[in-house]
Amino acid sequence: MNGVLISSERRVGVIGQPFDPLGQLLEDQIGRERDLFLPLVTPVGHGDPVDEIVLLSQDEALAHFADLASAEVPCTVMLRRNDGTQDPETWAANLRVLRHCLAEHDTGHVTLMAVTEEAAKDVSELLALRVLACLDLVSISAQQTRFPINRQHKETTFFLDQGEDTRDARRMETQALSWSKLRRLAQITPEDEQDQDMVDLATYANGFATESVLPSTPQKLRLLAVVPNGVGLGHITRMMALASALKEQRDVEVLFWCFSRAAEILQAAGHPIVLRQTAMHLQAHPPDWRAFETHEFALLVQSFKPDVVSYDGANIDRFVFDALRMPGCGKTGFLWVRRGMLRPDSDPLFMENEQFCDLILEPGDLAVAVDKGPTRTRSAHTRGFCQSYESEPVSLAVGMPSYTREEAKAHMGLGAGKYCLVSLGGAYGDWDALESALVAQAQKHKIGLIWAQSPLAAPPRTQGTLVRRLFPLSRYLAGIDGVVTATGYNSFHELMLTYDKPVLFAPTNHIRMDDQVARASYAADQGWASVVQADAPEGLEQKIDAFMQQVQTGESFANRPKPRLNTAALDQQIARVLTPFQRDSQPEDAR
Amino acid sequence: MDQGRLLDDFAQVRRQVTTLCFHNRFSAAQMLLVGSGQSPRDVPGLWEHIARSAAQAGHDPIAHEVRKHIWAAGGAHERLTLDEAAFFFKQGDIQNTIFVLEGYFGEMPAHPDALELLTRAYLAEARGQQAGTRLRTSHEAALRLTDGITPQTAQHAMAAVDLLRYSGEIDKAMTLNDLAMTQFADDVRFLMRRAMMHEQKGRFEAAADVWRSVSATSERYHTEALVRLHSLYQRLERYDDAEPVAARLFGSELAIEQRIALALQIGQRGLMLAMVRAIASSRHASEALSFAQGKAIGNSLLDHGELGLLAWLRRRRMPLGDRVKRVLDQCAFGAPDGLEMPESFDAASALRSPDALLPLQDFAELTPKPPGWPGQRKDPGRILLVNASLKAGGAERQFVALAKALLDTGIEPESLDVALFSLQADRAMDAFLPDLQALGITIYDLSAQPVANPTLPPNVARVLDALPYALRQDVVPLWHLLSRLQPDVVHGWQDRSAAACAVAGVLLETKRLVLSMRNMSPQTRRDGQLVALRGLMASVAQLGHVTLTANSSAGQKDYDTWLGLAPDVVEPLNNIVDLDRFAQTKAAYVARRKDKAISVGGVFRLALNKRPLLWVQTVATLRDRLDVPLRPVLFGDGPMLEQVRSEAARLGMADLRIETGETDPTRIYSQMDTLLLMSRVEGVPNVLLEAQACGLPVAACDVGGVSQALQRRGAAGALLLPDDVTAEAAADQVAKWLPKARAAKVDPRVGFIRTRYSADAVMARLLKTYCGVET
Repeated sequence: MNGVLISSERRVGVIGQPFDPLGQLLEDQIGRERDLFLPLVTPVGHGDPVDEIVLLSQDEALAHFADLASAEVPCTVMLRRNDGTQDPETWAANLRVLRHCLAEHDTGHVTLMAVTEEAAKDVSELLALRVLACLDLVSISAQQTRFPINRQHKETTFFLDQGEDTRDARRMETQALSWSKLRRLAQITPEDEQDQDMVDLATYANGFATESVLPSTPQKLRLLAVVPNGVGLGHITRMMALASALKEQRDVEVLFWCFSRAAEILQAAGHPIVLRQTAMHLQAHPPDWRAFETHEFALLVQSFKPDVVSYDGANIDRFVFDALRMPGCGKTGFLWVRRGMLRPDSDPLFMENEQFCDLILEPGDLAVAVDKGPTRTRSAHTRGFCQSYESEPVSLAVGMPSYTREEAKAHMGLGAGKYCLVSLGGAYGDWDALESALVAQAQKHKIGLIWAQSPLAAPPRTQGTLVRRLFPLSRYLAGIDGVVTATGYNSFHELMLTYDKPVLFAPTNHIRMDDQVARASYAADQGWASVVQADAPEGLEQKIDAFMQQVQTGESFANRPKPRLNTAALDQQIARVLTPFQRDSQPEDAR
Repeated sequence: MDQGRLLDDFAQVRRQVTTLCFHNRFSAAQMLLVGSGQSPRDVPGLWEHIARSAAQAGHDPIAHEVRKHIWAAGGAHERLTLDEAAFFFKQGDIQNTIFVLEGYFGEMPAHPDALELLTRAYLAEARGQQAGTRLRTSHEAALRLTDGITPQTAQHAMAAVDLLRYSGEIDKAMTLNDLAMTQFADDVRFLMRRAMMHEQKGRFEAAADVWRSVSATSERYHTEALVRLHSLYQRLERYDDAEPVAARLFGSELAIEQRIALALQIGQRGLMLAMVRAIASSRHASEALSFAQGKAIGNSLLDHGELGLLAWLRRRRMPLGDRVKRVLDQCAFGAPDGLEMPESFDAASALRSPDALLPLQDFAELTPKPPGWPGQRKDPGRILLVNASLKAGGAERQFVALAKALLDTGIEPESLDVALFSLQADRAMDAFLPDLQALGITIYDLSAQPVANPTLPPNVARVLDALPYALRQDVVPLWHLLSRLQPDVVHGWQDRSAAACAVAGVLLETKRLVLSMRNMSPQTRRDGQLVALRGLMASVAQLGHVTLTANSSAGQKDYDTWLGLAPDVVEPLNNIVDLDRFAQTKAAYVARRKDKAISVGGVFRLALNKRPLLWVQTVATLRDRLDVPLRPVLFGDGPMLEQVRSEAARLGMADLRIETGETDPTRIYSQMDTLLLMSRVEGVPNVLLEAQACGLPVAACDVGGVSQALQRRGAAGALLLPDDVTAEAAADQVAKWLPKARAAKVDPRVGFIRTRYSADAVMARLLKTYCGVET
């Protein structure tokens, strides 16, 4: 074996509050780097074979004592000092009852531990039993930012250094982040000295910080992208585009946790996916579904060990953040890809999720000048440690190989003549009038209509229309003489950035979607495209007539802007997210 | 038709009925009789045969149907009636059980089976009406059904004992139980009842002895005995004994509902949360619970105000009883006018009653009052004073003094009522009842108060049903009484009554609520149950018509801090000392001062906080320091009585006299020449005030409101000892101080009490509060 011991992954059952800081710190204990942490309900009879069980408090030990005593694997009971929510005598009585229980049973497989040396001494004296201090944690870089914490307060305010002269006052729910992450971002300072347990935890978490800077090793970036079941294909294509952009800068392995009905697009592009079902799809009881999803996502995080978890969308289900606070899941950055241009009347509450994030990446929008949504006009109350970065527009189409006109027409099975693509997206909006007008005007101008079938859209209702499945659309655009489309971020930027022929925007006006009307109107004002609105039918025929005229004459729009995504700058932002986790080290004596 | 043919036919029918019954075809047998024209009046024997056979085969509904026909045909007799009553009883139809039995056998059946069933029915009826409240049986039925009986079965005896003890007739129940113990010597359940009655009587040591015996001898009731034993050890402050018992229980295969109940009982909420979390985290665990287990867990949690956890468990589909489900529905989780639906277990565990129901007036959907309501009055109007009991305690004596002082101000007895949560003589809750009765005011015992219509308005039920058990027990009868009396002022005395008055008074929009706490907040004295009422008290303290008082400046400050109120929101309301009552005692003391011997007295409960052993040690040491004879005397009782006796014996104080039953203050102070207190926790001790009113020199440790209670100027001044004083140091200081203090004039002591603690001094301010005038 050449003297090299290769440790295998151990399965460690954890019993206790799911977001207990001590449970979150387990993954940072030296020697547990390869452990897999499984939340257990009881020490026996859970069905999951484990190599070790950790009970996070004396309450858990007493609650399950009969099972604990009969467990057949080593068990560690963490004895916690008083958290101030009970009087000292009640706390001590609880420990003494546990001592009596231990004395009356064969518990040679049970090890007692306390959070710190001092706590171990204190509890050991009280119980007259051997109590060990918890294992050392891996070293981290010392942090200047102080994060005050008080168990009685749901939120805390702290000051985050933003460059040399700037300090930001930030707020955050005290339990928003795993402590294995929090200790890498700030020095945790307990506010209530009566809460001895919190003092112990903070002492433990802060106690292995060092000023020494260790060289970070270049590594492959593992990205776990969560894709919601949103409207349209924007979430999927944007994440594919970002992954593709990052691959220009470094080795990237992407895994998709995908709720979207359009998952096949990811599969077709060769991406590994974990296909999921929403509670609505399963018609499941939401708390049950969330608990299950949290558990499953946490298992994936522990086995895939992503450097960054990303989410593209506005409303992030709580299971993502819950999982990232489970034992073994804390050492990962969180990237929120959140486009702007929300409708001005959108509820800004979703922005409070900023506190869970390390970086908000706002993909640039060509129509940003008319963005009146909450991401532009409001600030989140709880921002935590989150940083923001607005990139250039992100589109999968940019830089993608495409067919020549002849190839494209051949692939689409089109003959000679002019063809206009109609792509109205995810079936939101009443397009009957538009559809009729399009058909009439196309016939009038002798232009063929192709209906772009979307995995999310219902089949067209007009008989005789050509239906083609075109993904990615940009590959086929050379063979198309004009496009009628909804104005989602993806379609809008794909066409504006890569297409120079006539475009007619038909913005969707759905409450869940972005402000497509503003985006389309802005493009029209800039002379980049035409626009028709479902709720303004007057002049519809004339507008389509004019558009078809443009298609027929082959009008070109060279004035459309062409900004390119700065992938190096994007990679720098990702690198900043990774920084806290790249300087882990073990103390000299432990290495 | 000839007679022989008829007989043949009948014989054939009888044979067929018998055969059908043999084959369990009871309905067919009944149809045959009906079809053949054989009515119950004609052939009652055949009908009864079907009924009996059906009953024996377990077909109770058919048997019942057949008996109904016999009954309707006038064929009722003893056996049939008993069968029918037993059927109703089995079905849980208690009203019909009682109706059938009393209809046939009368209210006091001579038939032993009927008497037994009727007794059990009355007990079952009381249990059915319990609905989350204390079990109370009909006093009249208990006396009627147990008078002179000799039960033939253990079941009858137990029902009779329970009927008596839950009606408050504990002594009679004890006597009956003792007889049953002789009659059914092997049945441990009578031993258990004896223990329970010891508990009801407050004889905790005796009860503990019995439960210990049960736990050692009965396999079946071992766990229950341990649970009871643990509870008793806690009450007796025998924590060293309680903890091993708890360990045996938690280390055993105790059912989950019992473990949760035990964790709640011993105040280990974290432990309870660990167990409930385990249930809630596993669908398998929550759905595997039986209905009975789910119901028991639900009731335990509801009784401890854990509304959020219950809502969470319900979402996890844990089986819950109807009462819990009703309360959760009333709370309307997730609805605009209801409680917020918790989104996590932690959020659920933070949603507890009564805090989750605050402000009460909003949760009860009361119409907001205009600014300035209810304005000022020239006189207080009708006043209701409320206290927990009239047991022999300082606060209770003050309560009586308050009532007397109010009458002395000119308030008519008709305008002053008193309500007590319990006046049970068996439990010595009525020690001051004669004093109160002598005042000629109406006294309501809320534990025995008949309620004409127990139905609560929906908005009131919404609040009351969701309260923790202890508070609910107090508020429900109080609400009914307030609703009936409609007093203008409700004055709650001590924390428990204050909380109940706060809830009932707010819900009934009583014009003035005066909530008199005592000298230490529940936080300071570590009363876990009352600590949970912090939010409630802080909430009502914000209301303009509510006044909070405490009886010492230390108490005011302590309550202000505990409730998070601005300084002095809690107003002073000093104790009242009736100087006239002590005039003769004072004169006797002055005359006695010539005696050489000194009687050193102590008046306190023999419990840890009063440091009785330090008192004994101090007096023993003092004896060596003084060259005059010392006569030590203690007035009090408590869990440390035996320890005090042992310590006195160890120190050679065989002459220490301990009086455990004396409550008359004049008799107490007439037996001492100086009063010594060594407590580590105190408020404003009445005994110090009363002793000074008698002119006695007093010495006490500087804790709580003690310094406020002492006249400390000049030679007549009291001695204030350090709170952490040793017996040696205390004896030294007392030896130096006592001779001079004894020789000093008594008037400064009496004058001090008159100025600050006389009824005149205290009442002037209180009446203003009652009238809504700024004080």
